Amino acid sequence: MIAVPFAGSLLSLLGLTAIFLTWRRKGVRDGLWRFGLPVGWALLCLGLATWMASTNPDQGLALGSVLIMMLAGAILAWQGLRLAGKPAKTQIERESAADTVALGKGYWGRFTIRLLGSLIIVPVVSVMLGILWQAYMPVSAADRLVGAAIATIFIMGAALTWQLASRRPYRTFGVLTGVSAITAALVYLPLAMGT
Amino acid sequence: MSAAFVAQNLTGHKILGLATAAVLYLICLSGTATVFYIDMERWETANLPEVTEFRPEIVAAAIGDARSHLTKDVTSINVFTPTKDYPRLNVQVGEETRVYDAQGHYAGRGAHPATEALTELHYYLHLPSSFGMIVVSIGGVAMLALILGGLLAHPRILKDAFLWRLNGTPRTNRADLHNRIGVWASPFHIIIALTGAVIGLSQIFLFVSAMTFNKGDITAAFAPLYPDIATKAHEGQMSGDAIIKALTTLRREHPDAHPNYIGLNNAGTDHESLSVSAEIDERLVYGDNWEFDGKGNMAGTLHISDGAAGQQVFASLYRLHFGNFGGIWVRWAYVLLGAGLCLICTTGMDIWLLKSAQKGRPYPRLHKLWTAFVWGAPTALALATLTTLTIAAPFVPVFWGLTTVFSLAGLLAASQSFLSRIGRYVFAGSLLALVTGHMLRFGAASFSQTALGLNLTLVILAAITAGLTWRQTRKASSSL
Repeated sequence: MIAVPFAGSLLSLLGLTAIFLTWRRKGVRDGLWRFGLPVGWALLCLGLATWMASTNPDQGLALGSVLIMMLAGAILAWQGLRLAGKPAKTQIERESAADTVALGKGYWGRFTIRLLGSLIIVPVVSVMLGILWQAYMPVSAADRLVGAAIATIFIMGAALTWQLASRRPYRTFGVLTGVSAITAALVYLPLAMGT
Repeated sequence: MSAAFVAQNLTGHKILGLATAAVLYLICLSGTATVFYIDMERWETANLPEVTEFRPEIVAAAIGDARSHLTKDVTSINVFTPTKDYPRLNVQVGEETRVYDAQGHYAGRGAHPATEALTELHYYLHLPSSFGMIVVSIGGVAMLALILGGLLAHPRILKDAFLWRLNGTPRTNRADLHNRIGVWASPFHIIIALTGAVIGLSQIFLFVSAMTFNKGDITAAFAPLYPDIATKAHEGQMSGDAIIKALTTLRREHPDAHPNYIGLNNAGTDHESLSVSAEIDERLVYGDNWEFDGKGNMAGTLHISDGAAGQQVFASLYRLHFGNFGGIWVRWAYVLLGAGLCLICTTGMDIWLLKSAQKGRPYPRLHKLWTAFVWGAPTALALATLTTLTIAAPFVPVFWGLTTVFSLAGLLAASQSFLSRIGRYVFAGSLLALVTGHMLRFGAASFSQTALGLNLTLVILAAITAGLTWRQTRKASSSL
């Protein structure tokens, strides 16, 4: 039936329009506009739920999400083209403190520890935590295995972000190494002792 | 969010982005093109017949014919049956792909080396397969970290939700484009990075898991997802009638299952059996698997589509990664979102180069090298496909050779902006050359239903690229 996906698409479009119109008011949110953002996000969620009801939930969620991203892209493109011909009002370029980072004392030491952490410790800690998940999660064997594989990738991404962004890369390296050691002990000691 | 926290994340985002930009760009570029791989396979063999209807009789006939090509070393026959998205009947025996018509008669060889090389670029970057897949999967992890770091480094994520200053400076223009696509398409980016990394790195995880819990037995470690179904022993070969019986039984008992793959296991031995994989209507899982014994009796199913959540999630990764669900419009959406991901890679590097130049540390050679690479790689993809199609040149050396030559030639350009314009025109020209080459090779078949869609897409893409570049150049010269 075409009506349900159509309703899901309409709700998604209305949700994005509400968010866009609220955004265009640049912080002036008096009267009903105060509810612009929550209503917009609620409509988007409702749109997704409608899509999930229109077919199987897994495929509906995927289709609804793709549609929302395409609609957001269309609004962005329209917004970009609308402003393309107009003269620039402001040319403010926010500078970030990151640009001030210079080759100071200990730079190469921090660089090396970040590199070693990213290439060795990050994969080790994430795989160890994944194995810990597989060993102890109280769900079926298939759920444990797939959950552990997905968790490993998420942890790897998060640990990589932390190791690279850390202002104290030595400490981060140490913490990640410690977590790896503790996790390995939790997994392998019981196995070695046959429990 | 404190300014220090934002700055920290931005630093991490910058380090990782600069280190991986070129590799991620190649992975994203080839991935975007790979979304259409089933259409490209048909386009590359446009002169071969299409089969719109799946009938057990023609499958049995095709298997019967393919048997004569079995050798001592080849003991399996793999049949790719016609589906809505892929109306072909292909039978793989060893390295050879044989195509059959709607009556089950042999119609010709179904080799598609350009499509194969394109997908291998995405899977392995043309490196040795296991190592290459790990490298690409690490790219997926890096992408996930970049998304996470990028979102954390963006405190104005809601305030700037739709801000795109096309009328700003080149740097603000690119920064807005980078951030807006990065935010609104982040669900797609996360899914692509996650599924890609899981598909590739699951082998390593499975190895560690097997060493830890199964004394190194990988099959045992994998058993929760793909349990072994014992099929009854059967003397002699599986007859055509037994194959028809198996497929008819499946159709009767599971009318919502549409076979897309049939494997004749232990072909040519005295204990043949049949594996059938079938798509399930309106499901994200790639399908379910049924096993049949040598007499065509159903031995069991793997329960992928209705088993544990873990099984279903794992079976959905591939289709989620390639947009192989929901038909052609989802594939188009994936191509647009994939193009957005390529833009994020290129604008990220551009932002850093422009920022450095503004701060008095310009890198003109690196900027030219990067621009030449960005337009050279897709041009090389088109030209490598063209030479493979027309003169059977090997894709891999042509692609890498041209990418290297284009990138280095960029260093000779007068300016980066000139190079950017020329690069786009050359890319548009390479697409038109590819369509022309296809027409020369296949003649009228280039305008058939099989190939016309892709050929038109290439022409439209060339027109848009050239048109936008021409408009941009005119605008720039009129504002001087």
